[in-house]
Parts: sequence; structure tokens; C-alpha cells
Amino acid sequence: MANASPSAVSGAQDYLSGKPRVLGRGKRMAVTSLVIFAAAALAAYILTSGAFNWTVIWAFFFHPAILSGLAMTLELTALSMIVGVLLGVCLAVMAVSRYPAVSAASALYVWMFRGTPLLVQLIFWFNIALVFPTVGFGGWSVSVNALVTPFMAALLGLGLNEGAYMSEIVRAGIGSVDKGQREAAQSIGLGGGQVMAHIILPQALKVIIPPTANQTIGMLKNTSLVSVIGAQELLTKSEDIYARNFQVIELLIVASLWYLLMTTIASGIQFWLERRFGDDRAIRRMVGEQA
Amino acid sequence: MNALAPSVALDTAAARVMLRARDITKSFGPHLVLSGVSLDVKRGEVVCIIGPSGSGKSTFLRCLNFLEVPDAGGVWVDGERVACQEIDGVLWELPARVFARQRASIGMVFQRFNLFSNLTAEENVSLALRLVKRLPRSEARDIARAVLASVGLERFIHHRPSQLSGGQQQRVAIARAVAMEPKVLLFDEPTSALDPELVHEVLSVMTGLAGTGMTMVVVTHEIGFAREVSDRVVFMDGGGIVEQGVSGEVLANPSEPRTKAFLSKIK
Repeated sequence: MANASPSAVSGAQDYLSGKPRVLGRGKRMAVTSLVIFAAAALAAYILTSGAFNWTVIWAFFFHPAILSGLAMTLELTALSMIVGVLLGVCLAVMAVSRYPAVSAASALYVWMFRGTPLLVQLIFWFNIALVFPTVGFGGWSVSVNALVTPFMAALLGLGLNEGAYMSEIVRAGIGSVDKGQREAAQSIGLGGGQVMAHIILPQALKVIIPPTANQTIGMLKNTSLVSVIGAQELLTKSEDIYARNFQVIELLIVASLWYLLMTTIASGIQFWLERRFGDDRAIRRMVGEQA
Repeated sequence: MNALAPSVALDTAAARVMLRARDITKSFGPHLVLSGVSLDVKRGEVVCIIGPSGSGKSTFLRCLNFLEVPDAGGVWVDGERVACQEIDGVLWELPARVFARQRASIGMVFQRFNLFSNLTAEENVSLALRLVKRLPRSEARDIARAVLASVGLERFIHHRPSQLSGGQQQRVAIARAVAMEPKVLLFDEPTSALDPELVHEVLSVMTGLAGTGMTMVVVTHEIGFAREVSDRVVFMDGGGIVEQGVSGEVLANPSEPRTKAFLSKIK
């Protein structure tokens, strides 16, 4: 191999060079085959034991009711995340306001919506007509019962709850921007709102986007909670079917497979987003959370 | 508005004063950083502030455009009180909009450049032209390109800060400040974060700027720049001005022992 100095002995090599052989290869092989064997045995049992009726599962997999439930799940996820992100940005900007009352209002909101279970909030919105039977403005008024359908209650519950979590994420993003950026923007005469809109929020995005993708994946699964108020999403539809044909496990598997498919695709998109926008700090923080 | 207090009234002789700081006092908690620092800078004058770290020179500079709000004292730029107004014997802060507008006339160049990392060089320079001066996009872009060309960066207008060297970033930062046509330009140790071989390109841009008649206050450790370019050198230590005078004289023959000690250490 290369000799560092010309004065060294050239030609004959008196040592072994190259990458060393890895120790413990046999042990690794043994563990790997054990895990593969266990997984294969479990899969064989599930597929052949007759405990699950795969014909039923397959028959209902593309059932129109299931597909419409799937569409509703996606719609609720998208709309709730839009409500949540917009609300989260507002709450986060409020949280850093120079007016104590404004930042306190934001803190109160986050405290309430993060401090109560989402399930309770959903049932609460569904029954809001008990508290406010009508809403009106001037001579115009409308029955709350007509306004707050299961879909609206689901959207309110999921969106308002998500807003509280998103505000913390956006606030962390705002906090991650170097304070010199704000100072430089102020020094050339930008006003508070302009600094936020043109400098701080665009830079906060790379910290905000990866956990927001995480929240979206969580939201895909959280929509199943709205089955308690009958919002016609995937789980509600599955329940409706097994209430009639008693194939409870099979329909839960149908729903689970769809949830798995959706979260897998969403995770793929998240991975791409992280590489595209994410900075190292944000990714490290998320990995740290999962560990 | 009503008249300024007599002690700081801008008489005709002082009308040539572009920047006036009076009795600037600032504490961080129990730590007194500035104890009543006053400084007048004439139109077109270049003043270098030197001194050991912890002497309060950077804090003083940041008080001039109220990035740090002084506890006491006042700042005037071109006769206009900065960030404050006196109404019926009470000192009020300026409305945010007016204050922001006023800050645009006090340029600032930072030690760590602080370029907007989400914008290109050209956008860094044109942003405030559009948002603060309300120029149309095309006009702002033309001005930005011209100013960037004047600091030798015409080939880098579409680069992001992360794609530029420290020296190039600092030149963009100077262009960003200059494009607003400020009445006074403040430099906070503009070369301290640079690799040694990049210091020269920034100093030569600053030298060129001084030649255009720009009023400049420069906190720096570059004694050579202070000697050759500045009209006056101010030596600060312990939160106050120890000595000041024509740069050649102060740097060659300091009269205060503390100035002597400082200069002998950094040479």
C-alpha cells in the first residue's frame, strides 16, 4: 500500500491491509433466521387457521360503503388539518404577541383543548345544541341542531383540538428562527407583521413541516374516534356492516388494512417532505421523540 | 410637536450633526453596561469605536437604533428624536409604524451578517424597498442589482446566503443597508466573524462607502481601518468613553493609560 514517506521501505508489505472481517456474523445469522421463522409461523397460522374469514375480508374490502367511509376519513383528515394549521398559526402568533392579554388567550385555548380528551370534545360538540339551541345575528337565527351535523361536530372537534397542538409546533418553529433575523428585518424598517410574514414564518416552515406531517398521520387514525357520533367515516361504516352481518373481526381487519395503507402512504410522503424541507435539527428532535 | 429641552436643542452650529446620542445609560439586570455615553457624529463623518470586549461599545451601537432600548438618555438622527416623542412634557414611544419607518433611515450591519436565509441576495436587498419604501417590484429589483453590483456581487444576485462566503454575505448585508439610503450607517464588528483572508474585501467596500460621504459609526477591532479611513476614533472602556480624537493622534499617541494598555495589547 501507499507509503507515507519515500524513505520507508518500498515493495515488500509486512502487514495485512484492508477492511477487517466482521465479528459475530454467525450470531447475527442465527438471530435473523429465528425472527424470520417466528414471523412466518405466525403468518401461516393467521392465514390458514380459519380464525379469520379471508373471503369475507376480501368481499368487503372494496364494498361501496367502506369506500365511501374511506373518502369521508380522508376528507375529515384534510379539512381538520387545514382548520388545525390555520388556527395553530393564529394561536402561535398570538402567543408571541406583545399584549399579555392576547398571549394569555392563546395559552388558555391550548390549555383547555390539550387538557381534555379528544373523545370528550367530540361528544361535547355533538351535543352543543343542548347549551346553545339557536345561534343568530340580528333578526336571522338558525337551529344549532340543524347546523351541527355529525360531520360538523367531527370537524369542529378534530380541527379545534388540532389547532392547540399545531400552535405548539408553530411556536417551536418561530422560536427556532435566529433572533438576528428579526433584528436585521427591524433595522431596515419592516413592521412587526411584515417581519413575521416575510422572514420568520417562511424560515420556521422547515421546522414546522416534519412534525405537521406526523400530526396528519395521527389525524388519519384519530378520525376513527368520530365513529362515536356517527360521522360516516371508515370505522363507522365498518361498524354499520358488522352490526348487520356479525362479521366483527373481519370488518375491523378491513378497516385496519385501509388505515395501514393510508398511514404507510402518508409516511412515505412525510419521508419525502423531510428530505425536501426538513433541517437536521427538526429531524433529530423527532427521532428523539420516538426513541 | 413641541420644542426639545434646551440642553439638547439643535442650534445652528449643531445642524451639521447627523447623529446625536446623549447620556445613553443601559443596565442588564444589576450590571451597568453604559453609564451616560454621549456622542455627536457630523454629517459625512466616519467614527470608529474601539475598546476591549465588555466595554459596552456594541450595546451603545445597538442603543442608537433602539435594538436595545436605553434606560435613560436620547438619540437624534438628523434632528429627529429616535423612537420617542415629547408631548406636553411627557416622553412617549413613537407609533410602531412611524418608528419602523424611522429605523429604515438608520442602517445597521451586523457581526454575523444576519442575511435573510430564505431569500436570495437580490431579494435580501429589494425586500425593504418594496415593503417599506413601497417601490414597484421591478424598480426595487433594478436598485437591488445596481447596489449589489457596486459591492462587486453582480454575479451572485440569485445566490442564497448559504451559497456565499462570509465576505460575500457581509457585502450583501452592506448592500441591503445602503439600498435604503440611510442617513447614518452603523457597523457592529463587521469583520469579526470573517476568515482573515476575507476581511479585506469587506473593509474595501466600507472604505469606498466612506468616500461617498456616508455618515458611519463603526465598532471594530481593525485598527488599520480606524487609522486610515475614520475621521475620529472613540475609545470605550467600562461602559463609558475614555478618550476620543482625530484617529491618527489617538492611535499614535494615546493620552489615557487605559487606551495605551489596550492598543499595546492588540498590536
